[in-house]
Amino acid sequence: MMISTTDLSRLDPARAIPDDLVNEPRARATLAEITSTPPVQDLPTQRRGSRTGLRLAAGIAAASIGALALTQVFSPSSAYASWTAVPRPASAAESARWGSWCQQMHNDATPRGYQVRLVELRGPYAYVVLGGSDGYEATCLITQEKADGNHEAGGFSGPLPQQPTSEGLVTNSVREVNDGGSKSAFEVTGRAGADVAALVFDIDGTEVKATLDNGHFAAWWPAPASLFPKWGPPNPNVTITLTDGTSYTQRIQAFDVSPL
Amino acid sequence: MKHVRGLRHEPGVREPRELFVEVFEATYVDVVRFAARRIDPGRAEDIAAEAFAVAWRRLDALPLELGQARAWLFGIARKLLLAHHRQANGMLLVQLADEVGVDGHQESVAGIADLAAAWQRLQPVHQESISLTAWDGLTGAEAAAVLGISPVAYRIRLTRARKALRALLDSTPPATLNRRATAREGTQ
Repeated sequence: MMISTTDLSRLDPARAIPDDLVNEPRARATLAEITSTPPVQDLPTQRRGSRTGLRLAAGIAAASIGALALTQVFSPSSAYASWTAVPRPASAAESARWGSWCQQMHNDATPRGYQVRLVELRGPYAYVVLGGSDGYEATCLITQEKADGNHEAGGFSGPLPQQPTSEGLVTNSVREVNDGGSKSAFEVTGRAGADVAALVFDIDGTEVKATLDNGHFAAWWPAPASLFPKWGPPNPNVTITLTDGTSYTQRIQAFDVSPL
Repeated sequence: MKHVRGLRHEPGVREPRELFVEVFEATYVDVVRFAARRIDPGRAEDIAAEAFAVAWRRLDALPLELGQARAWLFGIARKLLLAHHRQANGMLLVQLADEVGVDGHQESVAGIADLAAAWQRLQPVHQESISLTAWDGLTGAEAAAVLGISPVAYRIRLTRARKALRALLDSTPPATLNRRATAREGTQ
């Protein structure tokens, strides 16, 4: 059956909202209330100085880039404070416990028969990658300290339709996950070629080592706790060390083959 | 769909407040609609007001191109909605209209009912992918930014979402008109 834009538009729950809503009293009151206070009032002190007397020149891309840079400062201390850039391999018991926990969480939502592919630990956080029979991946970020685990975040991605070259990767690139509140993290998962021995991501100067297990890799790191989305996902460099000891560096999106 | 143009390019510099007001005027209804598709429409203006308040506090991060500014505001609204729904998996259900306006032809009513039934079975991740272009009117790059994924990722995600919706439609039994599809004779 063909799907037309017209058909979809008939199902749009917002189609009855009038185009001139901004002229209604409620919208005018909202604008007046918001702009009655000084803007940029919650910037950290050290950044506020640079805002003094700010005047925006329309169309000046450099200003936009500079603004974005402010939102991308890597500050692992602001959330997931005990996160570590180097993961600790999970023991068999830890893998079984958190793998099972994640399977139950995802299978409750969408039964797929996920199998545990990888479990890693960074400080008090367990991170689990599951593989679905349909080729999808599912992830869980868990706080271990809670007696029954505490699901911080997680998501779906995939499938990965291609196999990596012996010295390469296939991935869905970096994705943002959050706890539904103020804590966000970035995750990246995928497959590594047979000759790949180690992966290290450069996250704003911090070397974040990935876990590599049986041809699958994963890494995650805290994102700034912010409601202000940056423009597009991170595209960090990843240094790939091969089994012969040589290494090379690429942007992770160069290996992006299937992101869902 | 509303066509988004660039912000006015004028010689010289412009005050941040002037820029914000211009963005507010141009995007307010779009942000309200974005929220109304994902929450009780009666609360959509609350979410929009909160999103613009957040944007005002981070005016230095407001993109200067209107399409990007609109997508940036959608991204803020989406995070507010995720927090509202306490969605740990970072995905939002996209709702359908309670009453669906169609013409008086029985075939058309049935087709819309089938589409609505398929949509309800569609995974949230697919709903979001389709709605960002079909309803919210974003470009691929803008939709990718709203979701926090790469443009490549979004393109493939959208393709898969469309395939999933078609597959659900193909597997849906002929319409039983069990949805609240309201035929509005003579209106089309």
